[in-house]
This record gives sequence, C-alpha cells and structure tokens, in this order.
Amino acid sequence: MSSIKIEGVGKNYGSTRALSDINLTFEPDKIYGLLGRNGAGKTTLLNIINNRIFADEGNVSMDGKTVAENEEAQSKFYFVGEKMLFPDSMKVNKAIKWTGQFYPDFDLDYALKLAELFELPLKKKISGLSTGYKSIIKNILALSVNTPYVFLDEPVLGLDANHRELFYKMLIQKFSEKPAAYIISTHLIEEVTNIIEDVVIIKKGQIIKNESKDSLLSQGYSVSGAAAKVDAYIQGRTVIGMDNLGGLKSAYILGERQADADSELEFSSLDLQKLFIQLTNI
Amino acid sequence: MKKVLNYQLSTMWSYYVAIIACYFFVIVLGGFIFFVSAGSSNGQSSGLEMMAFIMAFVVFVSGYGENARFAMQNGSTRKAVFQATMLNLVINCAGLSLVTQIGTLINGVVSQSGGTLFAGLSTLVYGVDQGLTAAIFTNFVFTFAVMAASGIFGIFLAVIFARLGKNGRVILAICVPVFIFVVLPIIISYLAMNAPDFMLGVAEFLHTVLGLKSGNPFIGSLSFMIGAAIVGILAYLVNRKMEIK
Amino acid sequence: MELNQDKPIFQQIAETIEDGIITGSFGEEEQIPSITDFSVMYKINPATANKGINLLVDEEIVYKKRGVGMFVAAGAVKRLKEKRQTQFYEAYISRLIKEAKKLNISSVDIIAMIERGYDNE
Repeated sequence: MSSIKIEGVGKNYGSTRALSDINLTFEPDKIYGLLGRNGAGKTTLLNIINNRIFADEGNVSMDGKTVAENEEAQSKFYFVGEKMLFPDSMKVNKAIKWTGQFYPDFDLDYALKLAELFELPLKKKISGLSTGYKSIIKNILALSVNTPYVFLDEPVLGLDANHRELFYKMLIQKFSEKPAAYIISTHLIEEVTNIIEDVVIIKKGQIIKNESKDSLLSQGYSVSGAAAKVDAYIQGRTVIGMDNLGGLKSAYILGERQADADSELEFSSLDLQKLFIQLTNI
Repeated sequence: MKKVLNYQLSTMWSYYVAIIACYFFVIVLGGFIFFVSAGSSNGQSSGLEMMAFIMAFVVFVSGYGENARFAMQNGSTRKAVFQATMLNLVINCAGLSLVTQIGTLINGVVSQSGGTLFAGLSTLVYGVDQGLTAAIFTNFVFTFAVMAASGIFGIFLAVIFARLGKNGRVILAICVPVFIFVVLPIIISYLAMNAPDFMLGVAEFLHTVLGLKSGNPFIGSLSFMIGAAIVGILAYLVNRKMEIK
Repeated sequence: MELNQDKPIFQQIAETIEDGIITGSFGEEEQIPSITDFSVMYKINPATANKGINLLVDEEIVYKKRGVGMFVAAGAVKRLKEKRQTQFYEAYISRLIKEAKKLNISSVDIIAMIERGYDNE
C-alpha cells in the first residue's frame, strides 16, 4: 500500500487563504492526529484529499498519480465529515447496505454487530437521528469499509461518555486486528493523545508541527515552582508559554530537560493538549 | 461507474410504479367514463406523454443532487457519476417510452368499445397513422427523444444548482420559472411585433428542424436528441468543477 | 490500572505486567492478554503496548509464541524480583530521602518509622 503525498497544497476562499503550502505524507497503517483550532483548515485539507473540493495550488498524489477525480485512489479512502451526504429519506439499514455495495471489502456482519453495540436503530431515517447517532452511523461505516485510509473528522461529536469510550475501544481493537491508516481530526486532544502515533498541527492554514507524538512531546518539558525560582531558571531557555497562580508559576520550555537541576522546582513532561494550546495561541 | 448506475437505477423503480399507476388510472378511468356516457371521442389529449415528460424532468432534477453526493461520499468521481447519470437517463427514458406505448396500445384496445382514444404523440404532431405497427416504433422513438431532452434539461439545471452557493440557488429557483413563463413570452411577442421577418425565420427553422415541414417525426427526434447531447455536454462541463463543501 | 503522566506509557504497561507476574496473577508458562487486549483496556495505540511488551521480551520475562500469543517465561518471577531489588534504592529510597530532607526528618527518625511500619503492616 502506498502513501498519500500532499505537496504544496493551497486553497483560497475569496480573499481568505484557507490553506497555504501544505506538505505532508500519510503512511499506511498508522493512527494520525490532525489537530487544529476551529477554522484552522483541517476540514478543508480533508475535503481536498477526498475529492470533495479542488486545491488551488499543489497536488495530492498516490503512486505518482493525482488522487483528485481518480476512482482507483478514491476507492482506497473513506471520509466521514461533519456534513451528512446521505439522501434525506435514506434509512440506516439502507445506508449500510449501499455503502457495502460501493466498497467490496465492507464487513456487513461487523457493521451490524457494531450497530447493536451502539444501540443504533436500523429502521430509522438518518436525517432523523440525533447528532450523536449521526456520528455513530458514520463511525460504524468507517470501521466497516476496510479501506486502507480512513479519515474521521470530529468522530465523537455529540457522543455521550459511554459511546465515546466504546468508539475508541472499537477503533483500537479494529486497528490492532486489521491495521489501516486512520487520520483523526479532532478538538478533543486529551482523549486521543494515547491513541495517535503521529501528530500534525495546523494553525491558520499552515502546518506547524508534523512528527511522531513521542518525538514532539520529548522536545520540551514544564517546570513549576515559586515564581522567582522559575523566572531564574528560564533565563536563556526557549519558553513557549507560561501560567501564573499567585506566587506559583509554570513555564513550558522547548529543549532538553537537565536532570533535576533544582530540587525546589518540579519538572514534568508536556502533555499534548497543553503543548497544543501553547503553540496555537495568539 | 457501474456501482453508481446500479444505485441510481435502484432509486428509479418507485417512479416507474408511480407512472404505471397513473397510466393505468387514466386509461381505465378515461375508458370507463366515456363508456358509461356512451360516447366516444378521438381524444386529442396527449395526457399520457405530458405526464411522462414532466416526470422525467422532475425525477432527474430532484434525484441528481442527492444521488451524486451519496455516490461521491462512497469514492466515486464526478465523471463516473455523470456517465452513470447519462446511462440512467437513456435506460429510463427508453423504459418510460416503452411503458407509454404499451399504455397507448391498451387504451387503443379498450377504447374500441368506446372511450377516449389517446393518440400517440407522433400521430398528433405529425399525423402518422395511428393504426400501423410502424406507428408504435415511431411513437417510441419520438417519445424517447422528447423525454431525454426533458430529462437532460432537468439534469442541467440540477448541475448548475449544485455548483451555486446558497444565494445563487435561491436566485436560480426564482429566475428560471419567471424567465420561462414571463420573460420569454414577452420577448416573443415583442419580436413578433417589431421583427416579424426574424420571427418568421425562426419559425421556419424550427419547422424544418423539428421535421414538421416534412412531416417526418424522425427528424424531430434527431433534433431533440442532438439538443439533448449539446445540453449534456454543457452539463458535463459545469459538473467538472463542482465542489461539495 | 490507571495511566499517569509521569512515566512513558509503554513503561507503565511493562510494569503492570511485571506486577501481575510477581503477584502471581500471570503464572509462569501461562498466557498473558494479547496486544489488542492491552490496547483496548488502556485505550492506547497498539504500537505503544507492543513497545512495552518488547521491553519484557528483551529481558526474557515474556516470550512470544507465533500464532498463539504471549507467555510468561519460566523463572520470570525470580528474575523480576532480583531486578526490582536492584532498582529498589533508585525507585523508592532516593525519593524518600529527598522528601525527608525537605521536611527536615533525620535518618534516625526514618529508620524508626520503617521499623514501626514493619511491625504494623
């Protein structure tokens, strides 16, 4: 299975530059986290890869061939976005049936088993489902199509805590038993931190981070303690953010952690969500 | 492309049922009413076909957008969706035309004992002798051609609709009927008054092209099919850059 | 069985399995849950679980039987206890002393506390 190569992709909406010079590769059999604030451009990028909209510059290719309007490539992708593209009157069971008709490797038994687990009413019209259940039907289809690349845009939108947990567990189980590339675009960074292997962070239409999660988090650390001590410590270091609470201070630093330089300061690793917030503020 | 076509065809059967039910209703009702009133009329009504033309237009204008989006959700390209839609159009117009001819035939039999006789469209327009079996073929071809033209026009509108944004769609939905029913008649009557020669020329052209001058329905059919092909190409070009946001 | 932020997750997985082996929950030559089981249980990427298990494979605590699963190696308990005894100072004593110094508790006091603890617990 080949990788998806995204080269120099740019997109404008009127005078807004939604995406600019996006260079990225998605490799098979990995779980990616595509992170960015609202309006950063995540959905635009996903739409371009999945042939919903056209890039103004650059190219997305697989095996050297562009994936836009390319049936062979698109048959290897499955994309569930926020928009529902099912016909208004289509019922859940029909949606499952027809998706199965379009994708030869679709696992119908698995889809029905998931529908039961999530208590999804099969005879109901998709347009009549709640937000949470709309997400659920989309996720069930995504987990059942067995395409090499699956793109999930905010998969847990509207899901209650029980269903969120169930979804993550089903995703992990599926990935472990039948590896494929999953690209998860989400705001709920804390929830997916342990599930993703690679991180791509988009800020205002540009990629600011694109690497493995482990390597990203090992690039920095946080130091906390008395404000004066922290201020002294951070001299000459690359600080990417700070929190203040009265006389206590926390600083987030890029660089290598020295082995416990000061016993009165507390050192700990960065967590992805905090790092993300610090990197994408302003 | 096959998968898309398969899906599209599966959505059409309900329309067939509706049309057959309408035909049956009209034929039976028409026959019954006139039988009871002991009169018979060589009906000039082409109600059967009119219904089918409108159906063809509506089916294709309304179904296209939803089906296209669903197909693209499942990995189809715009090109494949369009090709499937064209094939779908041909298959269904042929089918509907066939159903119409059968309906007319049945009506012919039923109305022997009195009742409304529905004349085939080519009979009404071109005076083709209703009785001959050749008339059925002629009717079939002509009805097919007009339905295809009607359907492709619906597809063309649907494709433009899909490409426009929210505001554009509202404007289009208002402007098209206004243009057809208000603006166009005004233009025609204005031209008729102020440029009668031009209008005569246009009328001449239409008469020739539609085969009315020579009384040949096949010329008319060909013209409709060529017109459909041209609109089809336009629709394809508009569809190429459609975006689903 | 909760994950925390301080240590890398794959290490925590390894330690959880080690604890299970030492306490006897996972007996020697017995099968342990699969990578899938661990990943789903902790909601982590299977690659992470795999990394943790590979640590144990390298230390010959656990071995993989192709097509079947993963098993606790013979003698694993003994090996683990020895390893932990060696690491005991770094893992517990160091931190204890650091905290005690912060609170000005003398080594004599600590020894007394330890002896009290052994009597009571």
